[in-house]
Amino acid sequence: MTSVATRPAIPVRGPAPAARRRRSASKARWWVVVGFLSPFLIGLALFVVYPVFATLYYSFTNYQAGSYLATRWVGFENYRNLFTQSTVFWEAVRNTLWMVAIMVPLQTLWAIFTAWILTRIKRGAVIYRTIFFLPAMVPIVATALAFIVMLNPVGPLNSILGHAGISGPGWFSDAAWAKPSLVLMALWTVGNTMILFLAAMLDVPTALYEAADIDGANAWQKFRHITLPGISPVIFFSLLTGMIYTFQYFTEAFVASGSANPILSSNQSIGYPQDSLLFYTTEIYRQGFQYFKTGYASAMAWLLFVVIFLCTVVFIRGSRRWVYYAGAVR
Amino acid sequence: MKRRTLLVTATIGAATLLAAGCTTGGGGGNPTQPVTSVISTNANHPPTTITVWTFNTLAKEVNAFRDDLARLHTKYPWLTVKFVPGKDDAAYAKAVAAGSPPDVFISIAPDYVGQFCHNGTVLDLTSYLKAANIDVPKTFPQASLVYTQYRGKQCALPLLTDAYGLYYNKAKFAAAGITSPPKTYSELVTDAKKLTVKNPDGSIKTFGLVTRSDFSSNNNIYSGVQTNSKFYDDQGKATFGSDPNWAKTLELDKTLQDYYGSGNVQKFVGRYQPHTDDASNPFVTGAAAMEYDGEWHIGELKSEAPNLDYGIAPFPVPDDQVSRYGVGNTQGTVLYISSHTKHPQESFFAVQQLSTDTAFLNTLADAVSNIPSTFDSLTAWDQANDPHWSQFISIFKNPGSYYKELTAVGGEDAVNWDQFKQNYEAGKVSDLPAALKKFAGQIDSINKQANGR
Repeated sequence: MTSVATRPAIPVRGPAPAARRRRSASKARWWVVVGFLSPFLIGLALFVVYPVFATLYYSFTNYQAGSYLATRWVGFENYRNLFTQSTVFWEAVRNTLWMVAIMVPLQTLWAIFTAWILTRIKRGAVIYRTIFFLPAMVPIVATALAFIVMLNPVGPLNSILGHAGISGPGWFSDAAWAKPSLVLMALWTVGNTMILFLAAMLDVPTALYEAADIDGANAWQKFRHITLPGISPVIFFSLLTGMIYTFQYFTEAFVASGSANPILSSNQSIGYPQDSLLFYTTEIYRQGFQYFKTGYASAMAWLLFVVIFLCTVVFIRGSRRWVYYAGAVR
Repeated sequence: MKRRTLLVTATIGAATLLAAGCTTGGGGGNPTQPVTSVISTNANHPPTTITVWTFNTLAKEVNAFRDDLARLHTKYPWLTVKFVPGKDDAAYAKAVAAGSPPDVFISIAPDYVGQFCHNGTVLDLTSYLKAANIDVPKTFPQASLVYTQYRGKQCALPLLTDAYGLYYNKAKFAAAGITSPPKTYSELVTDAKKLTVKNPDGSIKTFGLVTRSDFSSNNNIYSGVQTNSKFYDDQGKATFGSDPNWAKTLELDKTLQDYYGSGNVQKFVGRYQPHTDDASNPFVTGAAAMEYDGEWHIGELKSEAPNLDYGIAPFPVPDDQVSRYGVGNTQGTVLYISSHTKHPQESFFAVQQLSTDTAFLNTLADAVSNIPSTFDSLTAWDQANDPHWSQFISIFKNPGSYYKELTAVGGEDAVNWDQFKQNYEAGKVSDLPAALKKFAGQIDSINKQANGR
């Protein structure tokens, strides 16, 4: 037998060579990952991170785009002026809350209703689904322009109403009807949400309905106690995303106001008629890009972010009471 | 965790510092020193290219500019102008903020002259005009200087001008037994009622005159010039609460709206607002016997209703100010030179050619149906004796005509005034004097913020 000489143990100084190799390989991989991600990371830093924090800084200054006067730190003055000195701030807030409170629930209800109708259709379901979904594929500006034509005071809809002996309203040109006109437009483009509800409804187990039938439940009871809980996660999603979108509602209102009053300059037509279509983000646009009050507009934007963030947190926390997740571990 | 916190803090800090560094300013105001002499424009001048931005987009307007600039280049081959149409005030301000403004900017309206002048965005042309031996008051009528000067600085120059007046249908006047256009608010109300034709169901076939402030160019009726009201007093305070004349035009509007019925007026505005400058215009179709509009409407009527027999007159004044009859609101296109231009002298030379060259002004005036903006071009213009145009020229030359005072807030005060009027017309204002007083406070507040910079 060959005797094997035992070597004295090498004192351990730092990681073992294998571990060191693993770590350096992992480090190299990390740099490769960063390298591949770098176009995205650079874009994120330049076009998201920087502008976001730049607006935070601007919101505490009197910075004005296009001005060569020295920018001055004004603390919370912009935020204070929003609440105390703005002539139109509260009008914009009221209009935006109106849309959140009226348009978002109506959109959700309408999407549920149309999805429910589509589950009832036995023949040609695919055709009807396509027809109902099509408006969602139309660009927002095109939709707005189409509605402006349809809802013109002497346009097709009022002409039809006139034949029925009804004197149609001024729609977008009438302050009392301008926001309801936008709601009408929003209902027409509800296809995306409708598809989600349709999928959720078709996903509710039929065994539950059969059991309810045996128990003698009527249609409403089945809808109330089986369908609604089954689709509650989609209702939650629809209301949450709808709320966030509506707080930032801009394009439709901007186009509708500008088209209802094409002869006014753009800063005069924002909110037309009579500020009925003046929303929070359109006012940010006017302050920032028409009056060039960049600092003030930045303060408005950050306030909106905080409000949306808080509303989202409250909404998500509240949802635990009424949203039912079939697969959730309780 | 500590490293992550550090990273986030560093990111925020870096972004904030970058934001602070990227804002313009520091030193403020106009960096260019006043000049005492003009440049030599002979062939020895080194080749120079300047950029001119304009709001114009219509082909005939853009072509008029291009033709004139081409003539300028032929005459002065060292000067090349890069002409960019379709730029508005917002685009200009963004270019300034980005550090790359054009040398010259032509804006559609004088709303921002005060703001750009106050912020040092544009050059004060006073010394350039003096060096070029241009006697400003003898070159440009006073009505156009009001909207190009700010606190003694000539921060813009007029390039054609607009005046506003009353268009009236002669046949309808004759049918109603009216022999001359109204001169006072009372006469206007009486005539408007006489000219109004109602249908049996209460709707209106022909309106005498719709004065609702958001319709067509009507917001200019309320600029203050008709009642000799100024937005601001000598101390720079808003006068809406202290000058009782502001209420007079609002009351005229209310009287007419009550007579027609607000529902009928709403239908009229909703129907015709998108058609104020096309062939469906209510004055053309006969749905309105009178309308308030700018001089460019003459060109529109010429092409849309060449056989329409109409007259033009100054808009009436309050009964107790009949001696001021003939005044009107005036404003117009303005030329700016960016304060940070690398070629201030060459830019001024181009601006001088555009704003004072009689042949160019008259050609452009014909192309866009505006009023030439210098005394010389007014005299030389072939339309000067036309019965329609002569009315607007008279309004423009009237010493009582003006545009609202310019301030550092730009157009914000006028937009807020528009909103106030619309709220009043919608019946949201119950106590007019109190509301006007409150409104004056709001305007003072936005001016204070702007001036506090």
